[in-house]
Formats: sequence, C-alpha cells, structure tokens
Amino acid sequence: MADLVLPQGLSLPSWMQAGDQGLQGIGQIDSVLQAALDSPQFRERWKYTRPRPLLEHLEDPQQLPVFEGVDQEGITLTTTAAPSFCPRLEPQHAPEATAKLCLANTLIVIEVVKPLTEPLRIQHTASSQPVLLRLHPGAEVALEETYAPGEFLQQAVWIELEDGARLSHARNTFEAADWHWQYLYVHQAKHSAYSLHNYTTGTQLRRQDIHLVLDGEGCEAKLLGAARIDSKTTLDQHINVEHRQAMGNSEQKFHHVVADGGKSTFNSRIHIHPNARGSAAILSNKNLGLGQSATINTKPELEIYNDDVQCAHGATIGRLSDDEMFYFTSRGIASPEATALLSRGFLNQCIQGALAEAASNALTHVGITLDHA
Amino acid sequence: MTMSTVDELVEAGNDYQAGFITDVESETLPPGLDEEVVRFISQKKGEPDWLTTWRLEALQGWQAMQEPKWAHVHYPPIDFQAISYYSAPKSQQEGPKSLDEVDPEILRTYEKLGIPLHEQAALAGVVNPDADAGRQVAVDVVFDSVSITTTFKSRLKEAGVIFCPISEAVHSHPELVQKYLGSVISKQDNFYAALNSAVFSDGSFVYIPKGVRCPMELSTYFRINERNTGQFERTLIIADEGSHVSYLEGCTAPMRDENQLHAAVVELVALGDAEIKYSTVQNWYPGDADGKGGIYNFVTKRGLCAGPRSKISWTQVETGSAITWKYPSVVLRGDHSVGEFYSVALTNNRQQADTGTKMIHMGKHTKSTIVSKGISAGNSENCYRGLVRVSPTAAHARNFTQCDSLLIGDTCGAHTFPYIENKNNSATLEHEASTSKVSDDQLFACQQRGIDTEKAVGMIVNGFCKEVFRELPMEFAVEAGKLLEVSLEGAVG
Amino acid sequence: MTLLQVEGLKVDINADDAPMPILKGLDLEVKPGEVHAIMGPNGSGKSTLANVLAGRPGYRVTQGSIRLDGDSLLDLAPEERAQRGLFLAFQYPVEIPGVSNMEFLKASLDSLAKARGEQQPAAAAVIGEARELANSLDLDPSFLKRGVNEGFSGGEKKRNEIMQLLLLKPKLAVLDETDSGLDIDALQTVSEGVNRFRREDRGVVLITHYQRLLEHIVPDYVHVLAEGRIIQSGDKDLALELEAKGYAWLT
Repeated sequence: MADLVLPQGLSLPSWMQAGDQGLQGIGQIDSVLQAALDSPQFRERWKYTRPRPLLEHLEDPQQLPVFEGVDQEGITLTTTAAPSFCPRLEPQHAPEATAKLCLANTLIVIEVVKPLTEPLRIQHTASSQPVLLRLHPGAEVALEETYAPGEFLQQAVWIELEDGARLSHARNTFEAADWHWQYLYVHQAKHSAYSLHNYTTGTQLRRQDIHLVLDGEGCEAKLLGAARIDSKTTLDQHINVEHRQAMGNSEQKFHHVVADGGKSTFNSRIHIHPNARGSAAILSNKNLGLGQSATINTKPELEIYNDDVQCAHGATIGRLSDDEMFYFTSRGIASPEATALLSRGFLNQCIQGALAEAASNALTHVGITLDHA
Repeated sequence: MTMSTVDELVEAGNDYQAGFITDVESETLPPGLDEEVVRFISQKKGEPDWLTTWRLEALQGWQAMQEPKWAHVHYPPIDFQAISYYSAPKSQQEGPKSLDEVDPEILRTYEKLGIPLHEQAALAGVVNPDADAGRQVAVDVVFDSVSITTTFKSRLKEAGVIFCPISEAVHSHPELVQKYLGSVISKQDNFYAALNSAVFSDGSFVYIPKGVRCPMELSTYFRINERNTGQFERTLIIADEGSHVSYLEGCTAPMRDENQLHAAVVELVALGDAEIKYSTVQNWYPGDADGKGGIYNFVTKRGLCAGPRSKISWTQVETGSAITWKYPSVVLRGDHSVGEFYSVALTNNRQQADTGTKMIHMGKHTKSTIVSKGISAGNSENCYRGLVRVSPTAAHARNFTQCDSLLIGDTCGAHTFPYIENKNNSATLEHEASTSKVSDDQLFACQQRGIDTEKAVGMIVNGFCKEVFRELPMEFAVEAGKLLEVSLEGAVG
Repeated sequence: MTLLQVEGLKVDINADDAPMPILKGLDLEVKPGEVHAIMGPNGSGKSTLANVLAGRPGYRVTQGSIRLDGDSLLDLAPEERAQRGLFLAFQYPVEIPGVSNMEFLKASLDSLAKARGEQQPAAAAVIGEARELANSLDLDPSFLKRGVNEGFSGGEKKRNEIMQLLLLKPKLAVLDETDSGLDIDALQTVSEGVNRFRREDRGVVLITHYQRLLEHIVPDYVHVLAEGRIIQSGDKDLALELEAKGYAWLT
C-alpha cells in the first residue's frame, strides 16, 4: 500500500521525545510511520474502510471544544504546544494517530489530581485539538463527551490512568458527518479502572478506534456499546485491548442494530501478552439485522500468549426471533412497533451510564410514553 | 495409518515413528523451477497439450505472485529454486502393473507405516473382520511424486467408481479431468495453488457416478521420502448427482534436518444431492524439539457444493508439519447445500499452525458448521483463521462456529481470527470462541484417582476434541486420539 | 351469540420440508360465560390449536374456519386478533431482556385501546393496576421494571401470563398448558386468577394435560382431543373419567 502517504516533512516535537514514555531514539519519525502505514497490520486495521481520506485531512484546522467542570478543585486545563507529559505512544500500532500528535500546534492538556465531584464535559464543536487527559494516582473522574455535526471531523483523545485512578467515560455520537474519525487511547497503570459507555449511530462514514492498554497489575476495563446503523450509513469500530500485565480484567459488550442498506464493521482484538497471567477477557458482539440487505462484518479476535487465562468471545448476526415477535403481536402490538420495542430492548442491554437516557432515546424511536412512571 | 501402527507408535516411545528413510534409487530432477521443468514433468507423464499449456499458464501466474504474508507464521524465506520439483523411485518409472512389480523397499516402507497395500491383508487383518464391505478401505499410495498402487480397483469398478492416480485419469478419463481440474481452485488461485498447478506430480482422482454410494471408504496415503524434494500432489473428487463418498487422507515423511515443502491442492465437486466426506489425519514430520527440519505444509483445499442439497464435510486432525497453512473451504452454491468443517490442530515444540476454513454462502438456505479445536503446547503457535461470508443471494443462510483453544504451558500461543461478512439480513450467524488452559481442578481430580499427569492431560485433550473425533471414520478416530497423546509427549512438565 | 366458532379446522405444519397434518377437522363452539377444557394426550394437537387460534406463524390452515364474534380470524395478523379480544397464555413465555415488563404492558394496552378507538390509558393508572394484580398473584411488583420474563422461574412466568390476562381483559382467553410445571401453591394462585377473569361476557379455552387443574377451575365442558379431532365431549365428569382410565379407552 505504497499509495498511502502521510503529510510531508513530519518531525517529532521535543515534548514527544521527553520523559521515559517519549519516543526517543526511534529515528526519523516519518519513515517509522510510513513503514507502519505500509505494514500488513495497518492494512488489516483498515480492511473494510479506506483510510486515504483520513490521511489527507490530518492537517485540517482544529478547534477548542467547549468544556464544563474544569473549574473544580483538583483539575487543571491548559492549551499548549508543549505538553507537560507525553502519552505512551505506539506509532507502529496507529501511525495516523501519532502523526496527528506530531502535526498539532496546540494541544489540550487536562490534569486531575483527586476525585472530582462534578463531571467533566467535553463538547466537540468541530474537529478538535488533541486532548491529553491524565488522572494522577487516586483521581476519579466522570467524563462525558458529545459531538456536533460537520463535514470532515476528527477527535483524538489520549488518556493516562495512573495507579488506582478511576475513569467513567460516556460518549454519545449521534450527529451527522461526511467522514468522522474518533480516536481514543487509554493507558492504564496498576489497579486503575476504566469504563466506556459508547453510543453511536452510523453516518456517511464513522470510524471509531479504541485502543486500551492494561499496563499494570489488576486493571479493570469495561466497554459497553450500542449502535444503530441506518440505511446508507456506515459505522466502523475498531477496538484493541492489550493485556500487558497480570490479573487484568476486561469486558466488552456491543450490540448493533443494522437497518436495510446500512453497513457495520466491528473488529475487536484481545491480546494477552506472555506475562499477563491471570487475565480474564470477554467480548460479545451481537448484530440485529432489520429489513432485507445490510452489510454486517464482525471480527472478534483473540491473540493469547499465556496459558493462565480465561478468554471468550462471541459474535452473532441474526434477526428478531419469531417467538419474541409473536409474543408481542399476540398482545396486540403491531409488527412495526414490536420491532421497534424489541430493537430497543436489544440495544438497552448495553445502555448504561451517565448518558444512558439520551442514548436510549436517540437510538430507538418507540411511540410509547411512560410519563412519570 | 491403522490402529496396529499406532499401537506400535505408542509402545515405541516418544519420537516421530514415521521418520525413517527408505533407501531406494530415485530419479530426481535437479533443483529449480522454470518452463523447462514444467515441460519435463508434463512430458514425463505423456500429458496432452491442453494440460501442458494449463501448467505453463499456472507457472506464469505463479512467477508474478508474491508469497502470502498474512498468516501468523514465521519462517526464513524459502528459496523456490533450491527445491527439486520431481522425484520418482527409479523402479517405478514405467509404473507398476501389479504389487509384485513394486520395489520391495517401498513395500516395506508402507508395511512399517501400517498401510495395507495387499487387498488380502486389508481383508484379513487390518480391518475388523466382522465389518461389512463398507468398512473396507481402498488405498491409493503416493510416494514422493508418483502413485505407487491403488487397491481394490476391481471392486470399485463394479460399482462404477473411478479411483486412480490423477496421472492415469488424464489418459483414461480426459473429459472429466479437463472439465473439473481447476474448476474449484483456479490455476492461479493463490501462490501455492499456482505452484502446484504448474508442477503437480500425482495424486488421486475419484469419480462417483450418479446415485452411487461408494461401496467402501477411499483413502490416499502420502509419503515424502526423497531429500530436498517438494511434494505437490493434486486430488480431484467429483461426486455426481445423488452419490456419496467418504475419503481419507494420511501423510508422513522422514525425519530430515532440512525443511521440506508440501504444497498440495484438493478440489471437491458435489453435484445435486451428492455428499463428500473428506477426512485427513496429517502427521507430516513436525521437526525436532528445537524446530529443526519438518514439513512446510502449504495446502489449498476447497469444495464446491455445486448442486442443490449437496453436502461437503471436511474433518482434519493436524498434528504434524513444522508449519501448517491450510484452510479447507466450501463454496455453497446450490440451494440448501451444507458445508462442514471439523478440525483438531495440535502444535507442540516449535510448530506453527495457521489453519481454519472459509464458508462462502451463495445459495438460499445454505447451512454451514465449523468446529475447531486448537491445542498449543511447548513453544508452538496455533491459530484459527476463518471466514464466513454470506452473499446477497444467500437468503436464510445459517452458520454456527465454535472455536476453542487449549493452552498447555505458558510459552505457547493460541489465536483466533474469525472474519464474518454478511450481506443478507435473513442470515443467522453465530460464532463462539474460548481460550483456557487445562484446568487445575480437572488435573487434580484425575491425579487423585491415581492417573499420572501426562495421561490425565491426554485424557482431557481427547475429551476436548471429542466433537471432532466423532466425525471421523472409526479407525481414524482411535488413531487420531493416540496420535494426539504421542504428539503431546514431553509437553507436560 | 357465539364467542368462538371453530368449524372443520384442518392444519398442517412443515416437517422436513413436507406438510404434516396436525389438526384434521376440529369443531369447537364457545359461548360467552363458558369455560371449555380441552384435554388430550401428548401430540394430539392441543398446542397447535392454541397457536393457530392466536395466529402464530408456521402453521397452515388448509380447511375450515375460526370466527370470533362472528368475524373470521384466519386472515388477521396476531396483533389484530389480540386487538379483537383474543388472548393466549403461553405454554413457554419468552424472555426478552432489555424491554421492561412495564414498557411491554403499556405498549400492549396502548395498541388495544387505539384499535378500539379509545384513549390510551395513563401510565400511572396502568402501573397502579399492574402492581395490585402482581400482589394478588404473589409476583414481586418490582418485576415491572425488569425485562419481560427475564430471569423468571417457570412459575413466575405463568403467573405473569395470568397477570397480563387480568390487565388486558380480553373477551376470550386461551390458556395453553398454563398448569404445567406449577407446584400446588402456584396452581392455586393461577387458578384463582383465571376464576377472577371468568365473567358472563367472557370465554375461556383451557388446554391441559391433567385433570388436577379442573379441580380449581371448574369447566362447563370437557373435550378430548386425539389425533387432530375432538373425539369426545362431556361435562366435568368426563375429566374425572379420563383421570381414572387414561386416554387409551377413547383412542
């Protein structure tokens, strides 16, 4: 795939070389990234979506999102060209994301040193400047992200969870875009806990990359997702969970409803490293197809290098069960409404967290009201 | 192989028991591959022009192709010009007319391996004497590049079944060979299939006429003997409408320090209401404990369910080879056709396996089942790779996939890469996978009853594979279980 | 006026791609206020009858008619039959995680009201009534928030069916082996529920394998279904006779 190129003249800013996590001594960043771009791994990551448009837009102008909850005690927000810390970078894994960091003139750095009482809210109004969020040991944050519509949108967020930090992360992505890329990298130190409630619709093209690294003993990660992919919309989710250290626990559950003419791609990889003994990882992706023809690709992967593990994944593609439909229609509920209710029930199994109500309403259109129930 | 051999294997101890070398004089082409070599092979076999041309086109395709790199296996670059593409025992050059003419050294080889070449032997001892004719096995034996003998020819002829070396079928049934050769796996399908198409030496040909239930199980036994040769056999099985056949394949090779290449192609065609059951017990030499030597098993196997209600079932037990790259697949074109894949892949020491299947649903109400059991031990890597694809035309397609991996020891790897691609919303597809180790509780329960660890692991592994073994013909199932135990020796610390 | 009129009903199901006849000419007439028990050995077609009345897909009516209040049901979708007042208590109620019982009940009540041109009931009133009914049937009212039948025991599922029966107030209730798998206490509770439902303008078709249910819900008529036909009809004493002699003497 020599046809893929990154913007010319990439250089590694000094802040990305600093510290023990920085990219020291990796040589010419543009050749490293180009090699990664040409690798079979990159081709595999972008098997079902063409990455070229994204690479062409990496240098698009970027805006400062709107923040809420940054005035509390224990949190600081700075916009800077030279952040105080560098997230762990894996240029080989996601060269496009590393390139984006290299290209950024301004970054948003949020540091949290203690448990917050109010949620931290980020409202992306357009393509955003890269966000670096660090939770110091013991910090606890509830993060909520929402998005505005646009043409070519990119938001990339790097999160560092230090020892024992806890982040509850919810994001609702329902706005239309021509080409929307959401990149999320979470690095967890020991005994940290991360949860993601990820609710989204398809749009002309929406690509979500979620890269999770359990890099300390006893990390917990829980990913819940629900999505509705309507006619002529596309959603491509790519998840990678790396168990690098012992006794980590990860759980993923994603339910998708794909309507006639929609296109959904789900690829989640669980990677257990040789010394990650005692790891437990489960993954479930269920797809409900409505109507005649949709494209549903699902690829749950396990790559395991330690025998002391409990890993399982499952994926299904199917339609509403005849028994369920009959139970509903025999109670007088007409087919379209029964379908809507059952689809909602299917998605609700994965909808929880701070933005759950909005998510449930946005993802399902059901005519019944439970006023003041 | 048969049960008696396996008993010997088990009794004899740890090492690869099929690893001896047969001392026969061979005619072997010097290493290297070009048009001349292809023409030589084709000429040697007195092939018609169309086949020579077909081979040359395959060679051209191959020369323009790259070796596939996507599999989860690692090995030093293969010098395809350092391999000899033709080797035949000298005594076989004219082809044996009967068993009496076969080189006694070769006969002894198969005797040691326990392959019944004498029909009488097959009738008398190796097969259960109480069994009816259906339990008899007709064997075609391929030694390096050529077919040595085919047993039970007359019995099969009575039933109208054609079972012979493919080199013979080219002459005796040219219309069938020309019609179906390359019809499922085109001559330029992939790097190794193209290589095979250019240089394939021999292999088995089977045709079951309309409505015939093949009166006995058919079997091919492959043996690589010569040093620095590749084996490129080609199997073509055609089951005409309403027919049924069960086919077994076994393989061994001597222990040699160099890696040897095996790039076979197997094509199956099932017409309407026909059924083909294809079982493999692959026990190529896996290399030694340090990963030295062993067979590179780069094989393309695919079946076409061409007609309605046809069925193709692959069952494989893969315990050998240094590297296995193999995806027996089914193209489900006929409405209501059925594809099955049952697999046990065991890797130990430095073995690497990247194996699985592809189920391509095209017809309506097509149904496929995949059951894969991977066992990794030692420093090995074991990977399931599968594709389930539902085309827009495949209304009401169904697939069920179950992939389980068992790890023995903490220095091996077990991986699962399933691709599920659906373009029809009336499909129902289910995929489940799990990875775990032999549980300490299970081990303890066995030990507490006085069973030693190695035996206990063997039992647990056999239990883990049961769903696959029960798909095998009975003799093979017993053999497969014992083979697993032998292959696992030394894996439990 | 007849509430349910079944005449000459013949029904096939698809077995291995070939039609297999299950009901072979069944007649049944239920007038308002009546309880009809249908008994029969396994495989006689009892559940097929229940499912066909409610319009479950997968069955093919090849002959005969089903009328509710004089209108043919055969061309109606399951929801239209329900909207006209037919209720099926399932032998095996399905579990539907993610859709709460309350949502489900409200959707059902709204649909029934809309079909009758009535105003949709207020949620608060529905919840109040459902809670009360749940209490009377020994169901923990908190179940209303849980998924439909999710994690319910067999007995809870059956009680939930009766709760729905009492809440939805149909004209005709078809109970498909509602007594199967119930212990004696649950059987009593369920029976009380059904007896509460009985009214002069409502009918009940009670499908059961055992006579013991009929000790609690006394039927006006008992029919014996065997090999797709009603081969014997009588009053409640017929059930006792069946209990004593088994089905063999009839078939």
